[in-house]
Amino acid sequence: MKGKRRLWSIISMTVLTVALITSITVKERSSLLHDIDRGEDNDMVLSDSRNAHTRSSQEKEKIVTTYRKVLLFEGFRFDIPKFVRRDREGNYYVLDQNNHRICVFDPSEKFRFQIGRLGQGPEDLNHPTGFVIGRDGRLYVRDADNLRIQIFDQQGHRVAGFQSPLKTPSMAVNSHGEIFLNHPTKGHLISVYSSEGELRRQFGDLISMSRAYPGYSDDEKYRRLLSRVMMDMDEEDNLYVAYLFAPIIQKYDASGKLVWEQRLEGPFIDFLTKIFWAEMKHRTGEKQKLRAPFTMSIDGVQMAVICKSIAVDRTTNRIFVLLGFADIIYVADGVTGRKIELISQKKGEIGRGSLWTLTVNNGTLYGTRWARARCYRLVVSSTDPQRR
Amino acid sequence: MGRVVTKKNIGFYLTIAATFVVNGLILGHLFSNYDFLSVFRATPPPEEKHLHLNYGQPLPPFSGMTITGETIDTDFIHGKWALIFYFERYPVTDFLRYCEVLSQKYGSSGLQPVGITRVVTKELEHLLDNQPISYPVIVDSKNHLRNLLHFRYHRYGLLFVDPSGVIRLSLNRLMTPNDLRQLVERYLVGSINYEIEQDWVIKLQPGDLLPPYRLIDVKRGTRLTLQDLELISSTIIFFTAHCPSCRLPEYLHQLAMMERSASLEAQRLYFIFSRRFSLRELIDQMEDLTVTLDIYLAEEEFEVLGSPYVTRAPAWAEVIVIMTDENSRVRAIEPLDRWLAEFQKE
Repeated sequence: MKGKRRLWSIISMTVLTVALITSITVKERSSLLHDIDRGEDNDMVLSDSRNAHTRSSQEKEKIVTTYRKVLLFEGFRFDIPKFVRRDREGNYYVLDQNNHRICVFDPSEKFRFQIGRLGQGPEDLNHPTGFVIGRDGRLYVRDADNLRIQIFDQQGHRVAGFQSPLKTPSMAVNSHGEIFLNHPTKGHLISVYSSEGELRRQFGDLISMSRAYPGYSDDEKYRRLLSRVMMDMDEEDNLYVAYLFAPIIQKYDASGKLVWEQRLEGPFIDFLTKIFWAEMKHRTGEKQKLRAPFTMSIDGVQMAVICKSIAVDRTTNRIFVLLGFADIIYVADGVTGRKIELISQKKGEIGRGSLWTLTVNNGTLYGTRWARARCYRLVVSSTDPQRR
Repeated sequence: MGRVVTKKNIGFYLTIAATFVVNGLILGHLFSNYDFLSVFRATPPPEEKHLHLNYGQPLPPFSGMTITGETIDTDFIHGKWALIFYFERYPVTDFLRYCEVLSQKYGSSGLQPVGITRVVTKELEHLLDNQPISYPVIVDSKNHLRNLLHFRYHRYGLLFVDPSGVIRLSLNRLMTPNDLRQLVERYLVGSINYEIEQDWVIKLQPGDLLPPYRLIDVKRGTRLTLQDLELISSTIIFFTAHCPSCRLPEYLHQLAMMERSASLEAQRLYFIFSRRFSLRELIDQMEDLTVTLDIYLAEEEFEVLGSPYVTRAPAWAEVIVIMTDENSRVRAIEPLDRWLAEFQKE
């Protein structure tokens, strides 16, 4: 009788212990950071919106600088606008992806004309995904579904072009008119082409999983996937890259030599990394509470985006990286790559991550929003008197 | 020598015969789909494998038998803008339907869609029974056209050919309705309408009864119609999206916010996601949210919103709020943003 009682008490104790451990684990998981809200003193509070009652593990990141969005080209109808760029005369160029064209506006935001339309002819475009304005004033367009790079003059006439199979939107053009494309399938991070499509040189190592995420084991299949970057170039032909799926930015000089590599840092970046891994685990069949609001599919693998866009301000030598969630911009120093600050929207306007691209021209930031098909000028203001 | 086939060994002979039949069927299938004899021929030039009909090339002459038994050939499309599309097996309902819409609108201007399929599936038959189409669909069971028009490595393909027989667009996939409209407008009208079309209207008016409309209860998995819901003085929020997967997290977040809002507690709210959303994705993402409200997924197009010529709703009309009165009739229709703003004011 005594033995039975002892057995029952051991069993019940074991069950209770297991239940306790489980409940603690579940609580810990459910209180993972999920939502973003602005707390007192303009702190950014990362919290779990699904479990408002369990906000035990809040993390804070001080936000001093904010921005507000000013609508551009009011009334004009885009269908997935991307990259607001300006030429030397102050004209605006906006890529209108699903309308297969680049819209040109004068400095007063009045529509002038369009470059390209749906088709496969010499001056046609088919789902273009990115473009840059070269130092020579030419437009270099990634004509994604026609698998080519198109070069137009400022009047919209095609002057050159070549076939290029990769569809990623990012590209840069140096002062010699050479085109920099992210072609990790060719074994290097960056491939440099002439305007006729001749491969001139390649540089940059592909990134391994352990380098992108220390502590995780390398997997060869992720090298090419992780080595997708967004890029921008400064006046001295230095190339700045931000990895789409890793919290890393790099600077290469004009000869293709790595100048520096910096990891993005801070609580918000840790939060983004958490989301990235939760999404990865979810995709491999592991049930996850935390899910990424914004993912991108590369070669059939769906991954959470860490950096959406990168822009270099040539006047202040600052780098702006649009992060993958909540419309938050990471600002770094162009000389060292060190973090300066985070910029987010004003209180009460915390974004859900709908900004899609970020560009900068003469110190002014421009963003495009996919969901509402709108373009904005981002007016930055600081609450810190020293930074105003 | 006794009888060769006896009761004892009949099983053996039947097995042998069945093996022959099955092998024959497999070989027949392989021969009809793959060019085995090429093994014995000289090695083909490497570029032949990836041949693709490109922009500016002439369309090769072809002929084929349609589902209705008529024979059509290149003469049928001569002098017309031909929209030739190929689907190997699974008909793309929206694409077929949209081609019909375009055919009716631009047929007099010379547009002639021609479908090509390898197999006439029950799904396709059912589709054609319910929504007859006026353009021919060729059955290409021997893959002659698939090989001739270089669709052989793809499940779908599309060629847009000008009246002189020159290819103006060649894709190894089908286009979205919006792209198709732009393509047709470019070549047949001469200009593309980038604005939202003027005939985008909400056909449902105040005072109207809501139409019978098939739904799935996402939580319970049961099927019902709109009339099964308690529609007296209720509010129906109807979610549509140009890209459902992209917008779903945002919509579910909005939904969770609405649920938490005390001002909406007294409302009889129904949330309906359009047919384009995926049930699996909805269930998946709802599990992550603590949403207790009833959510439904539409099983058919909500014809009272939009017109068949329009392929995308303006951003403001992606989420529509339909309010009903005490007689279950439509009281008002508003975009969600405006409705929420008014609510917050109250």
